Amino acid sequence: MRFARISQQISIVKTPQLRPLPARARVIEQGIVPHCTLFHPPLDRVQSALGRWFDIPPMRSHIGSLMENDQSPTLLGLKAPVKWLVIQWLLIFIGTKCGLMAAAPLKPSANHFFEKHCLECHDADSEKGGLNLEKIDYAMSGRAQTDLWTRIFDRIENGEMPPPKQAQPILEEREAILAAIQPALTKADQSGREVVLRRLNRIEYQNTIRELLAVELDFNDLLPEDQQAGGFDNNGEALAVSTEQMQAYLAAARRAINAAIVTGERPKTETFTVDSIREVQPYFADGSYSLVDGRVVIFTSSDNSSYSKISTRDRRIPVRGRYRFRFQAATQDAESNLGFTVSGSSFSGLEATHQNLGYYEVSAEPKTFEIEALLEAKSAIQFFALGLPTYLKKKPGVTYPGVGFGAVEITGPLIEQWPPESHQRWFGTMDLKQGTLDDAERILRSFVPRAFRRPAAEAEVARFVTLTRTVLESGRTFEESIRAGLIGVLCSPNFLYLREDPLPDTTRITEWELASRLSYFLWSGPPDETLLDLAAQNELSKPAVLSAQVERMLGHARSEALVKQFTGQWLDLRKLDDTTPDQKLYPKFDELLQVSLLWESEGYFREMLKSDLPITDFLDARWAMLNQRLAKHYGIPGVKGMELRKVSLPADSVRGGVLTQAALLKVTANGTTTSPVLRGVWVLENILGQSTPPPPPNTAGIEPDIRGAETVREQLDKHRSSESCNVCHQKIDPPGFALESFDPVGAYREHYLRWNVTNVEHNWGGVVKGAPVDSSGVTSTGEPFTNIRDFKKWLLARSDNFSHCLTEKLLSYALGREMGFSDRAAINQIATKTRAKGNGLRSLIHAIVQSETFATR
Amino acid sequence: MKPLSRRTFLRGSGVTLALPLLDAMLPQGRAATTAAAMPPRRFVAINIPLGFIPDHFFPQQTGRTYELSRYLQPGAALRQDFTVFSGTSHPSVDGGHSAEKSFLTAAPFPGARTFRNTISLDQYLAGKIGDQTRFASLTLGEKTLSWSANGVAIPAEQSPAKVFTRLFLTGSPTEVAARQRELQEGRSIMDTVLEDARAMERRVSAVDREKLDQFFTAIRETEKQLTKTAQWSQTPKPTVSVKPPGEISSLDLVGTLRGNFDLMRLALETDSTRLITLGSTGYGNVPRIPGVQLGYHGLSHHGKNPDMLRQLELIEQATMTAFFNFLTSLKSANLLDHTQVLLGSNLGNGSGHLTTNLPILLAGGGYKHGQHLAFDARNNYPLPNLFVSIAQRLGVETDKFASSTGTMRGLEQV
Repeated sequence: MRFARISQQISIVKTPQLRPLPARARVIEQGIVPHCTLFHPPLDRVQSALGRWFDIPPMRSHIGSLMENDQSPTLLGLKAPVKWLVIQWLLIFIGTKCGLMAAAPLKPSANHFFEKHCLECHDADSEKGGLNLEKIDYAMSGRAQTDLWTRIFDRIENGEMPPPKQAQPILEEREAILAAIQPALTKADQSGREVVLRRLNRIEYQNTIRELLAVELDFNDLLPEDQQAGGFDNNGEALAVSTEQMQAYLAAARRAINAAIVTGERPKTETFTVDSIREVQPYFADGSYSLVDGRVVIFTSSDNSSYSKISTRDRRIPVRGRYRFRFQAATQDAESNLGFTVSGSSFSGLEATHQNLGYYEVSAEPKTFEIEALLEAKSAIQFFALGLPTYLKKKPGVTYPGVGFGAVEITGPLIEQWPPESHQRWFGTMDLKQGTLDDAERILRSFVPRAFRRPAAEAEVARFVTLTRTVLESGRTFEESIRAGLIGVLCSPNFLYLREDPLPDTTRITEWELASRLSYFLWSGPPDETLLDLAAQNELSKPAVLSAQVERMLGHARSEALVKQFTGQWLDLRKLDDTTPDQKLYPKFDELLQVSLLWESEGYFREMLKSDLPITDFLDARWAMLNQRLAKHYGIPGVKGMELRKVSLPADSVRGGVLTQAALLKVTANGTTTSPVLRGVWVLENILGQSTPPPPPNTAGIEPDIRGAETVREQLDKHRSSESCNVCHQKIDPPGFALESFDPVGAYREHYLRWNVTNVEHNWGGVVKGAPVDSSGVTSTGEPFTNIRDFKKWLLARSDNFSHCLTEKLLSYALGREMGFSDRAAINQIATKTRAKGNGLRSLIHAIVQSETFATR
Repeated sequence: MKPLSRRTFLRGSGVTLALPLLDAMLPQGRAATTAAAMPPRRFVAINIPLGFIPDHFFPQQTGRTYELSRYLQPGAALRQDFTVFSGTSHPSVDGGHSAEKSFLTAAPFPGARTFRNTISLDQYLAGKIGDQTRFASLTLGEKTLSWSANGVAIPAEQSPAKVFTRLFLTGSPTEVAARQRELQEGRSIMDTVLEDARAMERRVSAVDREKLDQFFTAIRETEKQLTKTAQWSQTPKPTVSVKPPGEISSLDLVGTLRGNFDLMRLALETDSTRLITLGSTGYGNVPRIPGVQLGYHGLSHHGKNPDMLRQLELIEQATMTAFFNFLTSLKSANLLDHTQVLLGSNLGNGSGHLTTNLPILLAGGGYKHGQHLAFDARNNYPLPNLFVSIAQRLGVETDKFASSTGTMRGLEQV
């Protein structure tokens, strides 16, 4: 530990003093023409330099002052923010000019610079960090090369390379090399940043089928999982098509059309009542179940189980359809309210499938619950109590808390109209037995444009009419033939891909393409009639219309897709259940907490989006979205009930922001232990927007050994004393250290816990307190911190990096492509524009949709 | 093929199957008629994504006189039927758990943002020999090991029950007829879609054309596939009088392995396919094995904690036992000599997330087995060389797969 402290102190001394000022800052001070400095995120440094030059306070407080009372200083008679824009324009203008000037001589100037400052370590012999500058590609062709050049650019620009110990290039050298790389790299990068023809991913496919055909179907068993690129699974480059995929699309289209076309008699809606007494009766005697006021009471919980004796298994639903389940439930001998969950389980095929039908709160006062769900034939619902012991040996004369469930009244299938909407939408009330080719043509004429999300050419419709005719002429019925025609439409690349055709005179996309971009961004689904109508009238691309549509769409229930898909990937919430916490060390982690973690993080994003809260609230905030279970987990008093609500945090709380949400802390741990490296990398990549290259080849990762006295921290401190490791680890480790105060399930801890075996043979033992947690460290910019609260302050001071990072991620998600070096200017513009409007999350979405990038190919 | 004794069969078939009566057990019939011809050669790949504790997997000694390591003990009777390899890995494949994607492809840097996968060994082989069976290949498990030529994941089938249906259940005559019609229709649909795509091709940009090319390939291949399926549907599916496997809980790690192994053996025995991959099975969970209380994934990050190591060992031992039982069942069914079975992991050491020194074992298939081929632990020997050997053993003429530099040194065919 002592070793660690010393090395950290050294870095405090050396970081701010020995490292040269960032190149552009000096340039500005000396009044020399700067190179294109605004293309890079750490705006704070530019700002502070500009601040010194123009005597403006840093950006944050500066905008803040405008918001509050607008007493900002003026430059050239302009208000500060306007002035800021002027400066930006000036810099971009000058930058572009200098870019043009420096465009030609990349190789000689880079060669010269590398020779002098880099090759000692990065030549073919040493290849330090896996980088050999002797074989670097000056044409920068391909993504791997542009990524490499971007890293080189950033390292030089940030003064990270050559490392501080080595002789530093003089200012002009640094300037020259950056000015030489910048235009070449922008150009090289740009050529690979078109939005590529992107097929619908699995979620988008499912939503598109639902909206088009009015059928609720699950395709997860048919369609392969989509690959991610750049962190999102709607990335056009990663969304390839294989033979298996095509066959799956054929099968999926068949499933969809078969479900949509409904012929035959209207099924009879029935009401019947089922109880589970028959099944639990044998257990009344030993007390594991009891019967109170007609309710079957259970005293144990079986988290994440797929089988419960309390169910409607005795009479399953006859056909697939929507059903209503009514039942009474109440707690029994419980001090406070309890929870339960219901699962809809199908036993029709060879294997069972389970669908969660929600989590409910139950009190001592019997209450009637009503659940509606779409279930497969032969399904039953099952009940599971939450928060009770998983194992119970009852002692006589003692009462135990439990949850009682009454008999279930089942009504269904619930039918609003017959034939259902899915059938009537495309077939109306026609008799399919009498259908002719003319009918087929009429149906396809309206179906094809809707499926293609744009007007269809005559030839396009004709193709599917021909298909229908071919099948019809081979002797099939009208119904079979039109099915084939419709299935064909759903297998067409015009349906499966978000098609954007290049236009001769413009790089802008069409109104129709804009409608699709917008709806797949905010809804993960197809544009609705309103959007298509606006596109047809050439209205959609008007800023005011676009803005109104974004508001309308964010207000629609379908925008839940944005919350779920974006947070699922940005915050890694999809990985929430990948690990099972060690039940011995973390016995309090139960199913209700597990689902609440997800509710909290999604709820937080939803609340920010709804109320347009400043995105800095992702870093730290004085509020949280909690229910009773979460509040208990966090030690926050006064929150009762299962429902999530906005809660003010106590002043000294360590919570607030996403980093200290238990979901995040769980996905960055492995269930048993935490690793500062994993958490640190997570923070760098998802909060600060710095990519962390994997350890160079031939570096053995440390094999964790927790037996000795050496803590992970001590191991890492050693690690950081090596120059080549330290380059990355001085950035990676500090956020990880700050988060050490949280265990693998996100609870606050002051000590590590250890399972101490007392009986080896039986593996008996107990949890004992281990070493105290040290959550202090020194940030990569040299500021010491003692705990997570300090660290969040440091993050808040870097909120511009975060807004660049979040903007990049949202834009990447919105366009379905990765952002690169050539997108930096656009990202900065969006972030700046958002900041000027209060920095709210909703405003950021608006700024993205209104940006040039969103409307260009 | 020698008729199987019912007793031998039962011994290997595990609990989910009751009183089976297979074609292969009959002295005559389809199985017997093919016996005169060259027995088909097959390949099975199994990946255990969290790897094995190296000390318990790798033998101490090398060559033919090595002593069985702890994990190889349950395979003592099969000693001459397998070779264990140490000091091998895929060149430039790093990225911790992401290396799972490259286990059968050897595509470099699977953890990189720009990573694009390449074809997996089984799919490469399926392109060569897949047309000989009803199913070109089977991809089983929770995570796929199989990747198509353009790097698309081939969905893995998690449920042995579903695969069983595809392999052996024929359906009623009405269903069969409907299926035939569907296949025919499918081909008409593909024709139309192809036309539609051609019309689109004329309008899109160069980058998009590349994407569309993938689509064309997929349509053409799908058409071929539909034709093949239509032809196969004229041939009745093999009849097995085995009860279809039931639902196996994902917590039952050993049961899941066994269920898949049983199914794999059935698929090979009935010559439904000659290529099978089995990817990971439930490592996020706490497996139901006596003495194991922690999640499998968590245990793999044991940090040398003795209690965790003990539990991890129980899981790994159960895995190896199930694997050797599978080999035994193949041997009893006279399949092992013509079936190459690869068992390995994308991680050399789960605790450190290392992707070097992979635990690799190759059984059966017609090699001079019975040895421990040890290579340099610091400077690993390229594992893709083994893939070239495997391909050649299947009669595929190639001398290259991914980053291979030759065939597997020291491994000789019988």
